[in-house]
Amino acid sequence: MSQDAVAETITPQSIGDAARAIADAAAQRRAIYSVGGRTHFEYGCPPGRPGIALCTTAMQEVIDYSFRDLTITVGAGMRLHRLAEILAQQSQFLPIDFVFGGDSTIGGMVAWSPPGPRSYRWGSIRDYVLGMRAIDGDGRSFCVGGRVVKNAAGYNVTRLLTGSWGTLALIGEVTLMVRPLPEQRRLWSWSVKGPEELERLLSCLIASRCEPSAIEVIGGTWWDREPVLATVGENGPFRVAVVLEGAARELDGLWDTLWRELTEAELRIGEEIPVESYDRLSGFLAEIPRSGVVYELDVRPSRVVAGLELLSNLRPRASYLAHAGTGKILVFEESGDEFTPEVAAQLRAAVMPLDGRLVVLRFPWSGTWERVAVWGPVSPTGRYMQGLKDRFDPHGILNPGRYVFPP
Amino acid sequence: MVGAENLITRPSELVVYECDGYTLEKETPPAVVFPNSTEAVASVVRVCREHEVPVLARGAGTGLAGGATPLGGGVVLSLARMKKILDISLRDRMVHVQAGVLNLELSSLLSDTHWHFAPDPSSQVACTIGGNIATNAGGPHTLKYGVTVNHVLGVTWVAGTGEVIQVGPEATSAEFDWIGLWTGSEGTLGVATEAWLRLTPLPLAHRTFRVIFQSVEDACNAVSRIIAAGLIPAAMELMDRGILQAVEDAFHFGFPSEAEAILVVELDGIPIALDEQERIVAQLCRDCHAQEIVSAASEEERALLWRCRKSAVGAVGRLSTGYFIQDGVVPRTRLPELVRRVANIGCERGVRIVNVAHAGDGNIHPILLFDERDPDEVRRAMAAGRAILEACIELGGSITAEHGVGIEKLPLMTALFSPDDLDVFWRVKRVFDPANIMTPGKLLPPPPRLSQQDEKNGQPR
Repeated sequence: MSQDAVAETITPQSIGDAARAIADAAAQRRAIYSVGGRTHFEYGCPPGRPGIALCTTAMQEVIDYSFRDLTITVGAGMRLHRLAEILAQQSQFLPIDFVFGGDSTIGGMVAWSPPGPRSYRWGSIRDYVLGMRAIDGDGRSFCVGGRVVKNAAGYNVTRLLTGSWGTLALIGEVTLMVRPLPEQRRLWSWSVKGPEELERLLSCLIASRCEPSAIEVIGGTWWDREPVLATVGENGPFRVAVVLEGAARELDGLWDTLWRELTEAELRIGEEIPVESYDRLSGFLAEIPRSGVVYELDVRPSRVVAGLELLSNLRPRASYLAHAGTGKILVFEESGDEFTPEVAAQLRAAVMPLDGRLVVLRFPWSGTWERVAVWGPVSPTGRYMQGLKDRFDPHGILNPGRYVFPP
Repeated sequence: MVGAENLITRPSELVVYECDGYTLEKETPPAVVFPNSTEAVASVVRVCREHEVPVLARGAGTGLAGGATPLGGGVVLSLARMKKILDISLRDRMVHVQAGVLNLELSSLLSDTHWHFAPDPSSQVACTIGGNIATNAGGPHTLKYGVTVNHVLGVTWVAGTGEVIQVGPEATSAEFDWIGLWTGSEGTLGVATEAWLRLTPLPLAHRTFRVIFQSVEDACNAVSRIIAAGLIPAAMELMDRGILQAVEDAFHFGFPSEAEAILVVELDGIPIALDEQERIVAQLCRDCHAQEIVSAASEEERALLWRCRKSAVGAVGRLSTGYFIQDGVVPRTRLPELVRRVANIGCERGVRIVNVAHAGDGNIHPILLFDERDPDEVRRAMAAGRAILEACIELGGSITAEHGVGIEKLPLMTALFSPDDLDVFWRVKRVFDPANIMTPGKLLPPPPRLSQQDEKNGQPR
């Protein structure tokens, strides 16, 4: 099965249109594949059966922007760069990284909730979705959450739907909490010779009272293409980048604090690199060739160094971006053919002693990949996931095959 | 299963468990069990499920919405004896604790480090981590640091099926956000028995000051303007004249008796940035007719100011023998209108209302005073409480920000959510608690009508 299985595209103009389209599809048991900016359609498993692409990009209006309340409600099809422009006019922003670039839609980001470097300080998009209007697999629309920054009424279904890969409901509209835009962002970087030094540096950065926005470890040949990031690594296999954000004077103070902490720990001081490099870091998934494989290793922050050592032993040609503060290691291999289900199984077994998890996010759809090879063994929560799936999408028409559920 | 020493059935002992901090409805439970392990909790749930006996999880009983009140019978499952600190990993910025650990105990435990657990509900001296998770508890500092769900990395969960599930502390794309769904589910989907909690560095410096206003509306306007100016203080707390009187009687802080409202503003962060922020906040407050702005002169004075704020509700006993505290929330810019309406509701119904508020979040806690011996006063206070929450809904807000629905706000769920929205909640409920034994009759009004499909299948979805 491939993207060709989704030959027909419909583009509803409103949530009502989308609900009718889903109800019609449900009556005919036709599969619906939700798409937005199509910036990460190749992620996850391929469509499980032929169906219709439901494109949300016409639902892109600002429904309410209460900038004094720091909340905005928009159609799910709004692209991230437009959302950022609107918010910037009021010196506000949504503190998530556009990991697939600005053409992604907010609905697409909410549906997957991919983590970015700055989730260390700011949290993930789950922390910013206050409310939602969505449509279940019967075509019934419902509202969850609200437009207030604190809300304890009913179950937090917004969090359930965020990151559910569109398999429970189509997200039609979201209300987001936004934040004042930091005046400045600055980056510092280190080259690190070995795992012991890396561990000492990461321990110091994580214990820092200046709370960096991101603590990234990068490695592999992919980064050699980025001039600034490449020079950072010329003395060692590991390269570390730290991001601080805030007002100009605040940043000076934060860096002074970090400088003192590093000096006390007898660690080298990093060198400041151009801020533009951050976009290359945070948006690297949008840049890499589509033929490659992308997977994530999830470990505790204290096991990131062990995870990277393991990775360099088993997959020496892989490039990675490790969010060292949250323990998520994103790995990219340019040649998808070399990364087989057997390799995934070997890696998965190797990270188990670290209590780690491996999820293959992108792989060549031409290959034969069982669901378990992609997502890992069915977890103890599997039957609850299926229970919810059956109740939200009783005919199994929403993104069949794309996520952990069998098509 | 739990041993005789961990079971109470004597009526004289059971009376303690007849309600939580919401005292208008009470019922003595037939039994209270105190399991001391996750397995024991799971055994209790499984037996209760087999015999279709309701299970009500209870932490410290500090809830204010009746979530732990055993209406309709059932076994009270107290987590109070599960109070072990299982692991502290500062390298991972994480602690692993049992659910009965007290919120404040975590801060004490970490007092020689620069870390803390950020959610700080006013009841933090007594409330448990399990209770915080059940209600998605907040507190004054949620304005900057978020509510409980933002600080939970992992949970050991006993579902209503009796199954034990561990989620986290490592996040993965291969699962739904269970922690997000379970946090705030008020014991109706299952019980958290252990949690991995994220630690936050203590700020390098604070600036805490009290701003005196001649009207509550002026104070609320100042809050709106501070947020609109792009500042996120650590906390912005409002106390009106009524509550100040009680607080002053209790703590003798020295609040001026003529103040109509006091805003406690706390900025935190790096010292060099705080000077500028303090200047802006002070100017915005003056623009809103602030009469006086006084900074806490010492850490002791700051601590006392916070003690006054966090103990404010407890001090209400000096004003009235009976009271209940409401928990409404509106978009921050609607706060001035809401406080006007609260005052009108009190006047119209002849109910004295005093106010504290997490004003920065748009979250008000009006405290309605009454004489418990006077049924008419109680009835009017209840009606006024309901009217306040209806006003919150009208203004685009919600009926609870951090206390939960419990039994107290149950009747308003149908005003806030449509039948289709409530049906979504029931779908979730049935997956985790198919026998409807976990804290039944709370949070969710009875199931909406069966869909055609369900009717055809002969059972609810």
